[in-house]
Amino acid sequence: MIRVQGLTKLYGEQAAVRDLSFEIPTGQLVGLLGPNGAGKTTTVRMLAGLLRPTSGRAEVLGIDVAADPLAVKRAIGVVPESGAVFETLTGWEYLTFVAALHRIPAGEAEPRIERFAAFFDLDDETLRRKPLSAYSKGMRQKVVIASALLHNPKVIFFDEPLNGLDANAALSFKTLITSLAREGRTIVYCSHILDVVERVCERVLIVHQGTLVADGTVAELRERTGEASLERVFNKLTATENLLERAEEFARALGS
Amino acid sequence: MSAVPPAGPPRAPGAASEREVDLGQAAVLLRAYLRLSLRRGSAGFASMRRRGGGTGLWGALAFYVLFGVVMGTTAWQGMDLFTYALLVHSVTFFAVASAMSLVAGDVILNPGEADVLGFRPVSAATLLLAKGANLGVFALVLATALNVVPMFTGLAVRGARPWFPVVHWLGSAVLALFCAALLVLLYAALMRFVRRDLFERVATWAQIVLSFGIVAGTQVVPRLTERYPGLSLVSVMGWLSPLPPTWFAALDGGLAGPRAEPAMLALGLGGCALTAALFAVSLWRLAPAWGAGTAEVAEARAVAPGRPGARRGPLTTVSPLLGLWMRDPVERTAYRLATTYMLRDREVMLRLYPAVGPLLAPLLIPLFDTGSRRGGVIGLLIMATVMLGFLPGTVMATLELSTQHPAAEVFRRAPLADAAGIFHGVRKAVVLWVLLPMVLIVGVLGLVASHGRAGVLLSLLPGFVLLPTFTLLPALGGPWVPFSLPPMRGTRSQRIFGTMLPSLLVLGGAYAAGEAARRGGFLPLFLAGEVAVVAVVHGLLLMRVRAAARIEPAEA
Repeated sequence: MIRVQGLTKLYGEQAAVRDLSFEIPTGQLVGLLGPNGAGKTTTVRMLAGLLRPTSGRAEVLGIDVAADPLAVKRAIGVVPESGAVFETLTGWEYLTFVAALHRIPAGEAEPRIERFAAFFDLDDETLRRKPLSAYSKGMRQKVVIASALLHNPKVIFFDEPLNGLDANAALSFKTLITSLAREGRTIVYCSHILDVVERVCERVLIVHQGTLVADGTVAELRERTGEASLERVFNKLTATENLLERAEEFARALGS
Repeated sequence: MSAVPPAGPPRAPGAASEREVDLGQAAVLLRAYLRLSLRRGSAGFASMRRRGGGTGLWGALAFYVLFGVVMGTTAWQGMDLFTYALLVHSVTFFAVASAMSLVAGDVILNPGEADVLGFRPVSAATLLLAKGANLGVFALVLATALNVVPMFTGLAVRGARPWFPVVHWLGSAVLALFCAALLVLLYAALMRFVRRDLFERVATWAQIVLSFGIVAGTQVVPRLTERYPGLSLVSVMGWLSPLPPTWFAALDGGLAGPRAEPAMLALGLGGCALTAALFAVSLWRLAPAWGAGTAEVAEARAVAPGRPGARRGPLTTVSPLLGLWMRDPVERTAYRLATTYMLRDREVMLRLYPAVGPLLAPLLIPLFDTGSRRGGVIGLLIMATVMLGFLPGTVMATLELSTQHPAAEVFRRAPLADAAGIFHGVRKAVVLWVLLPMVLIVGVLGLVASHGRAGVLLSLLPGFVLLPTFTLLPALGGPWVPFSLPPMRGTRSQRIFGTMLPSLLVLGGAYAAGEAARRGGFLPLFLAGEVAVVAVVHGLLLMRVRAAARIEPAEA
């Protein structure tokens, strides 16, 4: 369960997020969409207890994120967009390191890591011997996803989780998150790949310039805007005008 | 669903849980940090990296041990134990604090780490403790290497008790921890009290000022030992008590000296208490604001509107005159990149300016020490010229490192046969903005320090003539590419030490030859001959740089 009311984050006079309010019940898989710089990542960071809101309030599993960020962090998992890891560690070292920070005993952590490795087709030799800097982008992303799920979190934030994943891994991942939601995990899914969001998310929140501009199921949003697809809905709510004409004009200018 | 309570202002910075220290987590973090520090970082630029392996740390440690041997010989110069310990602790403080100030920014304030650790259930106090411990271990290793010889040779000082080595090592260990605590406090306090949009600039300059302060402060003691006949500073201990090395020298004198003097013991224990207090204040008072601030600095950088200073300024523009010197557009681009980073990038500024500071120290001493003898002034000017010799190497080594090292792949993707143009562009930026100003400063300060005796400076000219050629040395070992290597501890020190001895020999020899030519009345002729020879050598080295700069396809 996530509750957000009047959430605002200011940097000087610049608002990254302004007066955001919504609720996500337990077990719902929600897509959080918005153009670049709309405030999605800032919102996730505030909900994950990493950034302190300037005003407003947010609760995750009934815990005030500003009052007890550590308790929030114990209960959630986050896959950040950057996919950042400590590159000099091997995949195995990194995952045992994350498990230790979550206070998972080594005897319990290792079988879990092995399960994730098997699920994501991570080669054991690579996982144990090679530093993460030597992994492909997709392999590294699998490690990042595994590190977010190791401690069995109740609320999970995915920010562009399909970055670098091949088609098979992406399919496995999409199945995994729908299964996780069915088993009662609350999932916030940020992505620019709108057809995936359209297929897996029960509900969509669209943020534009720091404010919430749409909230509903894909069908509701299509009906409300009169558009045929989520992509068109998104375009109508957030894009500058004449996008297609501008792209064609730019391509012509580039060619000349 | 129950209603959410009404929106209100955020709580005061720092949730209570952020002040809790979890020693188990701190140990896990410290182990990971030490692994990261000691393993060679693997950059995407691996195949363009120069030959030669190792982390660089072992080379640096060997140099510190060697330097300790030189320091240890002062035990037979008739000093009392306090003065000997003070001299050794001063050098330790200078060396350790300087080395640490170069890495502290990367360790304590690494906004990129927010995406790795920010979402984990680790309190700010625990994270800051692990970072402080990481710095502390680094400082401890350096201090031990530096003191491993002096702590035993100290037994030769009159009045030293048999347990002096143990007491001295403990003192140097606490001194090293004091350096770590000071830097942790500095960053945590700045994060707490400075506005986010000003933080990066203020933190950068605060650390640069601190580095210069360390350099200046540690020059006091060696100068005083020359001033006071009988080589005893016990009588001026009170005056020296604001300096941290004095506290730990007092601990040595009080616990392992001829008499356990209460004043010395009090000063020594006071130093230990202050070290603990600095850590305590950082962890329990400032850590929450530091934790919140670290996440916000990265975020604010992305959200905040650009400031006027971020536009291309006149310093980064290649004027028509400079264009004559840099005809290759690749050179001009690399020049602009290097100049921009030297002026604007916090990470580069924090490595660059504290690295240049110690080189200025030998020049500043005679200015403030009116009693310096002429021979002493000349010696210091020669030392300054020698230091100018390894200044380009120092700066170029600094500009080779970056936490954004994967971005250097842009040079591989560019249609370039070799990295020579890139190297020359950066080299010319270093010559113009670092070497040339430093040569002018040496000249002006030298004139002032030698009380207008221009003849003294003329003998330095043969050394100055060699400096442009010295700037080519960093690229002789392989393709030199800016910002292409991950920051690794000891790498910079190893490179500097590697160029130190050749600089000393070549530039010292140039001074000796210049002095002989001046006295013989044929200095102009000597200079003309030197310029001709250097021009040939310079040309040959330019060819060697081009050959060494070939970009080969990546193997992995």
